[in-house]
Amino acid sequence: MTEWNSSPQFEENVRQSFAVPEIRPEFVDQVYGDLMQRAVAKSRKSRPFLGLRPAWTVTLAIITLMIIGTLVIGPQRVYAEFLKLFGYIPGVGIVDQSNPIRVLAEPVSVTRDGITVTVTSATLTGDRTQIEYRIFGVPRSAYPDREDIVGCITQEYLRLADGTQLTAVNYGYQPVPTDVNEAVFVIPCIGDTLPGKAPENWEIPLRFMPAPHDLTVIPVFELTPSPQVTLNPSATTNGTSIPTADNSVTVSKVIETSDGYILIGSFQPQSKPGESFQQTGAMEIHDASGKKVAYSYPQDVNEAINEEPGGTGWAAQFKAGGLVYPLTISFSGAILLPSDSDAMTKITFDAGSNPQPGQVWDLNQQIQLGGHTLTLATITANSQGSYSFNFQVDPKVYSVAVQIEGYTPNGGGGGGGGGLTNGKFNTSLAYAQLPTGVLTVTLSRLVLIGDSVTWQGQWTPSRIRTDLLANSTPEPGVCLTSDSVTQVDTAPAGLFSGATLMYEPLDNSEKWGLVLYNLDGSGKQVLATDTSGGIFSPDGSQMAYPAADGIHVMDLSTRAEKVLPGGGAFNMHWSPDGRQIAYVGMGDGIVDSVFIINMDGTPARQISDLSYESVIGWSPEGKLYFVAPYTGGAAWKVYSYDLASSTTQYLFTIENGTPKFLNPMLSQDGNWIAYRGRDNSSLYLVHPDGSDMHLVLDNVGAVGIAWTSSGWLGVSIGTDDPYVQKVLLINLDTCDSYILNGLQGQLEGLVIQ
Amino acid sequence: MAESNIVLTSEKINRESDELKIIRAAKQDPKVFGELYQLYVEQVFRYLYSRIGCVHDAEDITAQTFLTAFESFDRFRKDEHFASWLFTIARNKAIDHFRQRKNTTSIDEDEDIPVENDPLYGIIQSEQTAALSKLIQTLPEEDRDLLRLRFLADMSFPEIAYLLHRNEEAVKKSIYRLLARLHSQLEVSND
Repeated sequence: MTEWNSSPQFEENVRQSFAVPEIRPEFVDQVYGDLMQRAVAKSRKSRPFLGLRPAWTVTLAIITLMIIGTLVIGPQRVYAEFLKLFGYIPGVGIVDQSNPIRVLAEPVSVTRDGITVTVTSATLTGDRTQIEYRIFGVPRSAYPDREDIVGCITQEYLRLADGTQLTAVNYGYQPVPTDVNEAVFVIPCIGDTLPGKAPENWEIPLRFMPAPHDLTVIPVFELTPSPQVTLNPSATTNGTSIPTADNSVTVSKVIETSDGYILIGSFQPQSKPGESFQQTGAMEIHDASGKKVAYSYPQDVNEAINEEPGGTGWAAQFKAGGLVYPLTISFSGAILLPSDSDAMTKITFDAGSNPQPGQVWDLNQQIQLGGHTLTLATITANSQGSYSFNFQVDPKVYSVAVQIEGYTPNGGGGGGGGGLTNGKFNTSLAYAQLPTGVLTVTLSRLVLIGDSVTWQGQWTPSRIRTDLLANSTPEPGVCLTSDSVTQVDTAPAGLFSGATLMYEPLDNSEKWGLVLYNLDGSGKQVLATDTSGGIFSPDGSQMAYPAADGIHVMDLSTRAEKVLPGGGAFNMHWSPDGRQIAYVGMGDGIVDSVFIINMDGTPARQISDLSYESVIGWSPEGKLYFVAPYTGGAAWKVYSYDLASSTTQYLFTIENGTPKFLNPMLSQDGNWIAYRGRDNSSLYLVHPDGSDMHLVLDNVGAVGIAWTSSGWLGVSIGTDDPYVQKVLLINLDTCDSYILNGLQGQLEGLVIQ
Repeated sequence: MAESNIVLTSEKINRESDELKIIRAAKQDPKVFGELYQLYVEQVFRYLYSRIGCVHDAEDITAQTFLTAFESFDRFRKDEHFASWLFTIARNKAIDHFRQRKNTTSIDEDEDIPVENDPLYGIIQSEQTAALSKLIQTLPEEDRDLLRLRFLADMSFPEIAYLLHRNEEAVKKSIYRLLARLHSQLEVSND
């Protein structure tokens, strides 16, 4: 494997290598003439009703009545016989059941140079072979540092005894013949690693066996393209309403889970020629009583989602006890309208002979285009060979195409300032070599924001389920669910006193920062801008935050700061005695491993060498806990580090944590680790020895986590507004819960006195 | 990896925008279908020739593809996926062609083109394209078809994804992986 990026030249070579001759003009003309003759004949042809003979018309009418009848009683039942071929296996996905299902006889691990590859499961069906495997111990140095360098992308495959290679197909590998029960799983190189930086050509022998009788396989009901779905356009502040009924939101598959449903469908807004749309916000589901249905995204049905037309699939898994039907599935967004297609204007700017990364040109130049005023506020040269054009616009403008005359970009991007554009957006253009000198910039293809629209579809199950309780009892240990968390009261004034550290957008500024509040939302003080990951000292008198030049430690009473070495540090945790800070370090060739630095600034020491680690916290005895992920966050290994003996001990593995932002936090008494679940929304607890792992907050949108010395746990939870969170305080012994008034950011620190 | 060229992407968007207008107009006036024919005839021919390897047969099936598309155009509902629809017809016609040939000549059941008929063994323009041709010939049919759809049919990733009922990202990744593999094999063969 070598590092490589595709180039237009190579793509042209591929094109040339097919050696296709030029098409003969005579042939083109001949077929065109034939088509035109048919077109003329077609135009003249009179059309009887449906072009059918009377006998067929009667037959069609009968068939139509049958279809209408079946739709009224629920289309999924019509397909029941067909559906027995497909089943849903939780954690695996939708499988073909036409052949007996086989599974992996036992997990298999192979370790080389400290790196372990484990095949944990396999599911063999008639249409594919699904292999689950995880890798642990790949050093961070084996991966590229730069985003524009691609490491290994060679696909793994299965090799049979006769040498046949079963290569990757969608979400799996080609099917293993039914009479073959052994194969070798071959990984030519570990994904995204650089050549020579990690062992290559892994071979893992696998054995397969018939699936156990108790394997859960749930039927998948397929629906016709949602005849039950209708559009309920809702005009909003922009005024006019949108068209008539269509099938923008459809439901195509239904899976009945033990406590509710998984719905899979498609969202394809039907717009006029030239128009497009921009979705704003997440999909919402409401039942017929108006209650918002909390759902999660079932990742194991990815393939079914992607099979939806145009790749516009969606899926939702929810509990259905007590729901009133029909359910309404809603997507909100806005229509985007191309402005005058001929509108174009040019400006010039002088980039100089040697533009430097980070260099900013303050232009504030007003530009008229298609009847709208755009202000090109700044142009920035970025480190990866690109210019970023930053516009301020009226709220109707969505985007504009930017080109530098005479230069062909090899990449680019851009985005708005939140929501649709929020009055500003930027466009970046990347080049192999930054254009220099006086440059002519062309602006064209203005796109405007049209009406806001809500696209809706409805779904009703075809049968009443008696197995779903109206008010299902949460599983033991669960304090709050997505429903009950909405009923939590705001903390009465005076019940709590102390302080919170929030990461939130700053007033009258585009920046975010760390803000100190009293627990009743009063006493707001901005402590630091353009940074996150702040922590309180154990006594609450100081705050530390990361910055490019090191770890800043601020005295909260005087605001005096000192800077410790550790530029680029993050995920900091203060030791209980206040004398040390553990953090994950990066920069200077050392990346993503755990370090400890003394508060007197003596050099930091690295205490682990795994990659992409997170610090969990310090026990009262001064033991440090941290996690290291399997590749891709498939699972997390929990370790403790004893400072006295400088020894690291593996404790247990978290299998149900999110791969995205686990945010593990050790309670101050050292008894519990709290972390975010695989659904990116729930919160789990586990003792540091791995015992009593259980769900405590079910699908509440948990993000920020902070423990207090008094045992209260603070969690910032999601709201309907994606930019606003609430802070929940919960006593895990009693499940007593309160919402802290006036706090809307992400919780980073909490002190209760 | 992103599309390699923003300008090309912009042109593509323009083409698709124009195409939508033509499709709407062709629904009203069958003669306008001629414009869709002119937009696509070259790509369809290139694609079919690369599969069939014979100019005469490729022309014949190209004509059949457009005549079928014309006659079925009333039933075409998804205005934004015309290319995917058209190339579905073209692929089916190609498969029919091989089936018919199999029935009459009893050639190998495999739908792959026999080596002697393969256009890759035709005009070779340079050493590198010759080497590339040989490498592409060793690819599984599924992979070769991805390359044809992308580089001969000039289809966008969303169009290919729609045609193959696959996720756009997966298609993009597959094609770039293929290119990377070809490039690296080419380097090895040059060493």
